[in-house]
Amino acid sequence: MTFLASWTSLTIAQSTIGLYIGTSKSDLHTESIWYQHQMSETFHLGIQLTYGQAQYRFIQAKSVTEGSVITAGMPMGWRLISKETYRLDVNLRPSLRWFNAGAEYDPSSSLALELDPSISAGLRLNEHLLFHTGVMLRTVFELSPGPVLSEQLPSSILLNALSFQKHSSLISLRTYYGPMSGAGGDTEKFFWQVSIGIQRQLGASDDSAIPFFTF
Amino acid sequence: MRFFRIIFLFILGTACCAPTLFSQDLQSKTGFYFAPEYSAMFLQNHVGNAIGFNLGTTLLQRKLAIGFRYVGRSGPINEHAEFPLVLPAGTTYKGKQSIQLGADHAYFGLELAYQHISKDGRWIWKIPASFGQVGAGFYLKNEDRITPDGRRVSEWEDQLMGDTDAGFGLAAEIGSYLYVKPVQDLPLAIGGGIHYTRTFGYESFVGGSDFYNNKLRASFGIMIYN
Repeated sequence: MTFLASWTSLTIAQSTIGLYIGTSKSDLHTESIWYQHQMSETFHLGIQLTYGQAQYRFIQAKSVTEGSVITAGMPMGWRLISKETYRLDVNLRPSLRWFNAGAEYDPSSSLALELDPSISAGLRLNEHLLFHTGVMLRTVFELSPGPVLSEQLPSSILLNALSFQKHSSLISLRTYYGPMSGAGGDTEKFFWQVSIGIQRQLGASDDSAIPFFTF
Repeated sequence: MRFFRIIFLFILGTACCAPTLFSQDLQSKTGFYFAPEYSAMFLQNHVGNAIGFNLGTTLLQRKLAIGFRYVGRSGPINEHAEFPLVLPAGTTYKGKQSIQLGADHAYFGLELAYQHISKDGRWIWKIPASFGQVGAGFYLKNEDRITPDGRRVSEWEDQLMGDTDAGFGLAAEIGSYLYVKPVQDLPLAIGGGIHYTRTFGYESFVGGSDFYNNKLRASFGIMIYN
């Protein structure tokens, strides 16, 4: 019973829910919501849903300037190092991306698998301010209507975020930027995204610890 | 199915190896570093903007660093650099016989670095050497990326530049960084470096074999390390 109570306390304390809204070179606006749960001392697993209104995306490596994008992902993170002032994580976010560009395009929709492995470091600047930096090797395989398995070859996108932490909540300004490669050069060449998000740990939490951060 | 099997094995392998690779015992003997940076590449007739990072592990009391180095000079952050392509007589693209091209580049290499940390921990001097692959090319930019016949833009680029619009080669870099740690208790340093680059076997449609060869690069960034 004691064990069960302890386990329940741990798991509730280490669950995170969050959302962000932003804009990017690919999407006029994008919104994301996620829930992440600590499965073990070092491993997080969750679900993430993202919606965006496209302004520069690709189907079959041809540019498309409108449409809607829905992405369903399973973000996972492994905490490698955790100290008082910093922590280091490796992350992977396998996702399925459905893109509907509208009837005027032929083909008008696509299905893709995104992987997005990343490594991120979090620093505690003071009691309330956190700084995260990292790199995501953005990797995308278009599966349908025809395979374009090099839609994004591992492209090095730099991640940065500045967060304000109050109790168990984190308000963050996030930026992504970096060159894009793949599809024989038929990409947007450079990607950027700016977003504002909030994430909250559910249940009791250790305010002094640097929380797991979902980019 | 084979594709998904590889992805599954990759995820499983990472999950299994990560806790072992970063065990407390190993952490006491080794360190890590991650250094995102902005670069100014001193190229033919212009200064190119590039972003990149260095990432790896440190050994031998943090004196030896082994890792990866990436530098990417992307076209859209170098709009000031245009390269004219004059098409042969009788050949046009969207009615034009002269087109302004953009250029992009990426370098990914393995790096080995000697690093010296001052006794008070405030200064870090690092001498990295790296070796890897460079890929670079020239491309149709802005409105020219919307092709007149709906074909992929890369097909037009291949046709207009005779399949020599992009290429690959080997590259090596040697450099020197100086970092300063602004806050004693934070594993963060700010600094900059200068690097010398050579390419081997890369030749481009515009600029020849020396477009990225025998060039200097200045960098500025941060380093997170322990």
